[in-house]
Amino acid sequence: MLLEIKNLQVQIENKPVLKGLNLNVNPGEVHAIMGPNGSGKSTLSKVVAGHKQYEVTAGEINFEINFKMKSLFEMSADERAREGIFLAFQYPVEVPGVTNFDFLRMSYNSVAQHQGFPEKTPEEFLVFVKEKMKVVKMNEEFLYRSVNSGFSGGEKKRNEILQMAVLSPRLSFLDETDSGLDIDALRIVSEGVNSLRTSENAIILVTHYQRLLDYIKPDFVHVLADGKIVESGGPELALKLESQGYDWIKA
Amino acid sequence: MENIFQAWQQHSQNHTSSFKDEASRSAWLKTQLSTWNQKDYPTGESWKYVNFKDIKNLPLSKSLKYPRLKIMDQNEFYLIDVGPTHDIEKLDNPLKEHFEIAALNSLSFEELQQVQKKLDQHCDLQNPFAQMHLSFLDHCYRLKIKKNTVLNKPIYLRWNNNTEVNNEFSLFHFIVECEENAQAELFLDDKSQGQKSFNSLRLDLFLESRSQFKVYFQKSEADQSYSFYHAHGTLKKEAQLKHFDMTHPSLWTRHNLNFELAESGSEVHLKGAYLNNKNNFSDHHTRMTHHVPQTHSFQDYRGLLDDKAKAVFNGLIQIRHHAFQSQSQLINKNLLLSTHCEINTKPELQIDNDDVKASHGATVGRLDPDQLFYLLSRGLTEKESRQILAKAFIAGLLEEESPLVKKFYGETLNLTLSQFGEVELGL
Repeated sequence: MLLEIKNLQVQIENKPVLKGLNLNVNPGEVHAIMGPNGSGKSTLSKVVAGHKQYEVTAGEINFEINFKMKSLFEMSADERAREGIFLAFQYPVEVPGVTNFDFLRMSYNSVAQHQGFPEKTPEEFLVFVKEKMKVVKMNEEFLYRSVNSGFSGGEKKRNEILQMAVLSPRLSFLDETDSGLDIDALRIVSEGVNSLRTSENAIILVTHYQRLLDYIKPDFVHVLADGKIVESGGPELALKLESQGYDWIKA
Repeated sequence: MENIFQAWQQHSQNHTSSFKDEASRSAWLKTQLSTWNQKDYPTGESWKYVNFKDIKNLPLSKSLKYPRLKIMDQNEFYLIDVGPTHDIEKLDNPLKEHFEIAALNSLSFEELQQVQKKLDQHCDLQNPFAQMHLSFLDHCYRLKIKKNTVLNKPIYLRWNNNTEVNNEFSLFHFIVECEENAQAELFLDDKSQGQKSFNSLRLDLFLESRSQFKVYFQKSEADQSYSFYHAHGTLKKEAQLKHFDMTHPSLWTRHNLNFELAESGSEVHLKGAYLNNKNNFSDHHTRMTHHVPQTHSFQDYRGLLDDKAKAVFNGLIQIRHHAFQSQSQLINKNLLLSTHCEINTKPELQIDNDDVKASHGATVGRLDPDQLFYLLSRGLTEKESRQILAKAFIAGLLEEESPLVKKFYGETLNLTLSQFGEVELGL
């Protein structure tokens, strides 16, 4: 098992958001978590990635490190990232004054150093990153622009997937990566994600809409409502949600 | 102990300077000393955060240092090196056809009178430290960019003090006259330092019609000295000035930047940053005066503070009664990296007519937890992440600048920022 979440209860500013969530993820799997606004989808991904704003009041999150399950609560956000947990943000942050190239290389070297791989010089990294940029069809000019500064919504999302490609995480949360994308961008981003699927990593798609799942085929679909997973199934569950909405869950 | 002004006056009266003739010297002194006879340290609103105690107790040496200039044509710049050891006799400008540079005491009586008339426009009795420069001319040089000249590369003026000598009293006064339609850039690198030393740099700018001038000022780190920087500019019809100043951590700094939009169509862009940590103090006062219609000014100042640093920003916009259809903006943003640092910011508007567009604002904040989380989630450590965000905060000011400007500021900026963000904030 790669990720194990047991009875996770989380609150923010004394308001409970997750109320006993359970989820198991194995290497090679793609899970989709769907649910209405405010159901706790984004909270889940941020808590796994280690955002300190959220208070975990009960439960466990365990992640496989060197064939042992280890509690993520003992690790800071940056340590989790270096162990191979990745979050593609719904709203990627702009960092003016730092080029995408420097940022990607710093991240890469930070992870590589921790995992015992050699760090890359700027020259080596340029060759490496140019190859990765093909995954999301980005031009080289994006390397020399400030991180996400002045990027369109679609460019920011592609940049997130580029970071995923560079860091090769073992567990990726894609938080509403499809929102704000037109059909062409959605296809490019999805193809990028598909090309990064392996038998060793796992991907968790957090989304409102079934349309993303037309491009990225999940193995499991979970419905999150009021802080809990209320139903799990295969891809057909997403189709049911698409045709019937979320009202049937509430009932 | 005599105060700094008395000491200064004593110097100026006793000094047997190398004025071209005695008539010039006497005329100059007579005017300056009759308009200014400062007896004590200034008080009042604009000095209220300044503690003069330390300056009063500085055991300054009795000798003033006379800056000497050396001019060199380098690849990227025309370099003017200002240092006490250069020999004045060798002030040789290989680029006479583009610009003219002269020590004020070498000017003729008539020329000196013209300069004096101009400097009278910049008389500021509220700031005796700036006035003090006028009582004494051996430290003063004038740069003239000739009519219709567009300089093909910037002038890089570097003020180097001998860092091994302490208790120094150093002055430098630079007057820039940018004639009609002339265009030039000045990089001003203040590297003055020295333990328990007092340094004062004054820059007077006179921009004639349709001239364009850019100043990039940098105050290098100086954690043992007390520094003043006074810049005062007057702009004629459709002249454009950009003034950028960046102050690195220094024990004690005070900047006074005054600009007079004296004829229609003139425009000033003022940008700046102050970075301070430890127990250091910095104080920036800007004053933008719109005297006539259709004048424009923009100000963007950012402060980055850490440890127990204290900073003051006071930005005053004055739009006079007849200055219709003028536009003025001022923004001051501050990022506090520790819980013990302090900023006193006060943007001010004084508007005497209804037909203007003016805005001003100030913000004080901490690092954005979402931005920090973004960097952490990419495997960067908390310290690295804080430093990157601090850099991003300042670098936002440089985004539209040329590669040369970015290079000028970038190196020192990286060095300074490596000292910031040590303390964990637990965000």
